[in-house]
Amino acid sequence: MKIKAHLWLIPLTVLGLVMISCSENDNQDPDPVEPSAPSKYFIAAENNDGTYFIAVDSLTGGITTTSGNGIEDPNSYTHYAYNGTDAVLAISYRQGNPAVGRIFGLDELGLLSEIGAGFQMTAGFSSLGPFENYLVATRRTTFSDETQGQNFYFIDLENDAAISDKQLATYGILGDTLDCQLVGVVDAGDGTFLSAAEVIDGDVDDCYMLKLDGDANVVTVLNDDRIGRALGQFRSARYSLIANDDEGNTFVFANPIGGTKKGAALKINQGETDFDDSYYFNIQDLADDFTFRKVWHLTGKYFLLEFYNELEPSSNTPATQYGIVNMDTKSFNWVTGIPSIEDIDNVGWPYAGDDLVYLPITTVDSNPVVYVVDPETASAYAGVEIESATGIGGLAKLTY
Amino acid sequence: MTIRYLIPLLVLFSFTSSIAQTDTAFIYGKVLTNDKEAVPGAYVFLENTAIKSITNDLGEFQLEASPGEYNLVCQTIGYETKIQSVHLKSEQKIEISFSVNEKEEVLNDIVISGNAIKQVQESPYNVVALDAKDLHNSTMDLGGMLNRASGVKIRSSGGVGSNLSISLNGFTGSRVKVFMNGVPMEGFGSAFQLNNIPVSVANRIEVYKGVVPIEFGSDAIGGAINIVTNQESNTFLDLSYSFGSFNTHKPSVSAGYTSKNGFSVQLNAFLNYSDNCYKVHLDKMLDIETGSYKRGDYTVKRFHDSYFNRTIMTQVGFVEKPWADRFFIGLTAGELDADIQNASTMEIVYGQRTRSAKTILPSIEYYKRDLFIDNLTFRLTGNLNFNVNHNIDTAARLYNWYGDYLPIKTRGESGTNTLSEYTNQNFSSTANTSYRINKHHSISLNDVITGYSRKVSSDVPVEDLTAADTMRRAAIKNVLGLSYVYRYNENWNVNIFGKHYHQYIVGPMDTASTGDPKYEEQARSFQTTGYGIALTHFLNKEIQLKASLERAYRLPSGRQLFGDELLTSANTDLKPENSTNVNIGGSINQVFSRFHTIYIDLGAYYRFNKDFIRQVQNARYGTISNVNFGQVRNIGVDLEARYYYKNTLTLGSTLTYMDMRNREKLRSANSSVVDATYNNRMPNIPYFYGSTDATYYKHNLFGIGNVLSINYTFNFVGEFYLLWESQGTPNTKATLPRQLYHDLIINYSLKNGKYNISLEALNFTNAQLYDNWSMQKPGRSFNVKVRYYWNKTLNNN
Repeated sequence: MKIKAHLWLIPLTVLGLVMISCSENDNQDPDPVEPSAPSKYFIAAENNDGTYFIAVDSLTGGITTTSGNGIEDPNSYTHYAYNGTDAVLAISYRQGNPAVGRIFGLDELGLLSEIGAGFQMTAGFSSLGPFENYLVATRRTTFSDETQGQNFYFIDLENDAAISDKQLATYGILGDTLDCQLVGVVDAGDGTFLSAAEVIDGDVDDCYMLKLDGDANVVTVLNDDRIGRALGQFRSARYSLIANDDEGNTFVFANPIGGTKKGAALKINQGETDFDDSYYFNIQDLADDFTFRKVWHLTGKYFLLEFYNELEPSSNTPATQYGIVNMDTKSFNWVTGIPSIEDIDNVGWPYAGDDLVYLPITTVDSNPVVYVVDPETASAYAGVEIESATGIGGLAKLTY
Repeated sequence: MTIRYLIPLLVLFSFTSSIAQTDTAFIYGKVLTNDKEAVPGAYVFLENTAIKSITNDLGEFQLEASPGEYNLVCQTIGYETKIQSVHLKSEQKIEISFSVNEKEEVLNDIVISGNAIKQVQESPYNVVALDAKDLHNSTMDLGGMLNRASGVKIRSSGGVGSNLSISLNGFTGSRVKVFMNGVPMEGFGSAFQLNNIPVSVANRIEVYKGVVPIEFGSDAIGGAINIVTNQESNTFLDLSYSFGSFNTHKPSVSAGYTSKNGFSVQLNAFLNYSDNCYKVHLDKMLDIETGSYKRGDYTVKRFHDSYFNRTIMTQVGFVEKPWADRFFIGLTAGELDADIQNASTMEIVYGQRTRSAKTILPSIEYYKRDLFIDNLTFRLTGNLNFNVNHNIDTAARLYNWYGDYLPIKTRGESGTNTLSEYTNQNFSSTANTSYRINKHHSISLNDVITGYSRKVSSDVPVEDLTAADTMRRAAIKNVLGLSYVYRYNENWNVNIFGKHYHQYIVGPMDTASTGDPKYEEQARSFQTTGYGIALTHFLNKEIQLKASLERAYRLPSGRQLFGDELLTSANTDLKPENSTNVNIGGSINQVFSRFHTIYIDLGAYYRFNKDFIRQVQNARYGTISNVNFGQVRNIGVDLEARYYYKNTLTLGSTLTYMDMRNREKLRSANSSVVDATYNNRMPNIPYFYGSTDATYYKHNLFGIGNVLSINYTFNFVGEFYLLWESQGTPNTKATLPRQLYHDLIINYSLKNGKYNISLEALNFTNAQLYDNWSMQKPGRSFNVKVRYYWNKTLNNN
């Protein structure tokens, strides 16, 4: 089916790894004046090598199944990103092959269906995030002149996911002999976006951020040594540790393996070209000295962090415990009411919506379950259960 | 046509000789022992022709042939081969009888010629023997020929030279081992494999289902396939050239010379080239300007899929010397250059990506009967294999299926700039000793040792590799087998065997508990023991019954144990996979009213496979680890039925049906959750397939010794699912649709096979065929092959 043009014109609050599907007013206006659009929830359930895309009415309870149910896809998707509640993008990063993506939405009858025929990003990506009306996916790669640098794909969410690309020569940006790769993308709100820089073979105890324009030119280099490099790590994979709050301020988290700095966060106020000197939030001390590797913005000042399961992790230590931070009050709570780390078999991408966090967890002895977490209390309860599945890749809320 | 089909055909020949053609000469006679007892079931044939007969209960045979010079050969199990030259004149009738001496039988000798196929078939194993010689006029490769065996499905991903995978009674991948003359082919490299070796290199192919004799010393739990090359020591020249659709060219030459003093040289050389530019159908097309796909019905030609390989095989040595019955030193050298048109699905298309490989395989063979003492036979083979593979993906272009491209700023159509070289050295050696104690008892001892050493063996481009990937990975595997054969009488024999597997592996292992991974070289060793039994009973001359059982093992590979630091995690606690394999079967070979012969072979099997070494993928991280988990039960039947009318018509069918199901109740090894796919049919395995064929022969067309044959084959493969059958909404399931396709081959041979021309129309209804999900195979194609065959002894008139 073809996407309805008007869907793409709705102001975007896109988010890849970060989510924003509700406005800041949501908390203050519990009684909507206009009837809200009908909605459903998207579940990417996994069973061995297949993904089964299912739409359900609620994530907070009930049971669904992949047996005889769900749009079958013989691929695994590694990332889920959103165009508000109009569409969800399932993207597969497959090492050694171009990345491909599919877009799903609800048709006029509220049935889940594919929008368009998907897209391809030849050079792949390692992290992605929102910028203006784009979803930006980026990765270090080899250029046609055989130099290395950063490639950016701009997926135009207002134009049928048309993709354009930009390149950045990274050598020398952070110093004459230094090269770097970039991880994570957040919209700086002033026609630029921010990305965290990893100095290749460099010091992990120093934090660099690049501010780039829409052509991937460096506008500003931000540096602060109060925290380490702002990216998470699992084996050779890199994860984004930067995210915006509802006001567009960027929080930069860091907790590098092998570093000496505490796991903490800094702030870049919207439109600023430097870190906020007055802001420093030591999270590690509040989190019983555990360290983290991923972050998602929830709502308001709440952010979800994914922590390694061990106090001294290696790059392949599992990370299946979660905590929620309030960046205003600098408070921290472990998420309670979810299975213990000993029981967790796998987890999926969390999804924030309805002022809640939906956290997919599969334990060794249960079907995959979406846990529903209240950001304020960090307490969770079991929501929808997916029978027959072996895991949940991602979730989304879709309207029609 | 398999030799199975030949057996009744030969019988038929012996009864149809009365249908005389003018100018035809006749040979008739008897085969008797020295004690003047009749020898039934002996093969009597004219060397290097298709003219053959089998003696009846009275030891009688009858042949008809065109006038000329021939060697008449008499072969039968347990007796020495006799050869007599004959000069046939028009309408002449000659009586020739053979008096044969009992010989010390070489049991389990896998390199036997002449009546080898009959001997293989009459063994108690569940084995199919395919006669390659009947297909020497076709353009097939070995994979295409194997596809004709019941119970075997060859799955191809495209045209000439494309990847092949074998499914044998539902077993796939490394669970099925392929051998050439008893030597494992897995180390031979991609330049010398089933997808590029022409049928003319082979004499026959043996397919052992489930229960594998000790001579194939390998941890093949699903079965073994042995390609037996031409081992005949005579002087001949075989030249052929074929060309056809998609700019496909396949020249080959095969030659042999053997002097009177036993010096022998053999040569096989072949070349394959194809543009593989066949049309494919797509339901979406990449817009290279936007990177988005557009839905629609598209028909495009493959534009970057050319394949070229050339291989030369030589052997020099001696035959029939006092110190060796066979002693050969060989060298095989091959290379290939191929374009890569698409990724593992056709969604992603390439326009510049290529691969190449080079292979050098020196080998040695020694074979001696009555070594030191009577009845002691010894055979030794050794192979060294050196392979180099290159993958090149450096283009800064984005292609779509129209062949249009957009220059882009990043290198590597696969997403990563790749210019990599992988080297691989491996070896294998087999020693086999058999001793026939007396008429009833024989024993055989077999030892196969294989090993490899690799430096970079990851599929990941070199630039992404770290120190650990450049560390040594090596393994040595030894399989020692002992078998005992008890032959109660001519109608009963039983074979009991045991196999001991031992494996020693060295590789890099991540020993870090914190921080960045630290790799150090570690070693692991494994050993286990398997066993089996096979027996057969001849109810009478027409009916044979068989039963066999094996408890078989497959050892984990180095990568499964140690993983790599990129995608695969280590699991050094892996146990060997095991399978209990049971076969029962029977065959009938009956002649009716002189002109009608039927042949039916029915085999049923049961497999129970436990401790599957299974890849577990973590979709979120993209990593893979291997675990022992899963049980699979398979029950199936293979049927082959054939009818012959005189020597002018054959009709036949093969049919395979199996019920292969997941019998693991739980979702994972440490889970209590019932697996939703319990008792589901195993995914992505064809389970119902077969073929029907008809061949008509017109003899002596436009001249004595000329034969026109017209062969039609109808093939079908039932629909099957890529993923578990119970999962997903039915109309959205990834399905490999039912395939029906038709082949027509017309061959005209002149001068008793000296000159041959074949016309092939394959898949002539132009069906869309898929063996693998989304990977479309060629549509309609036409081929022409011309072949010249000369034999010094025969001289083809």
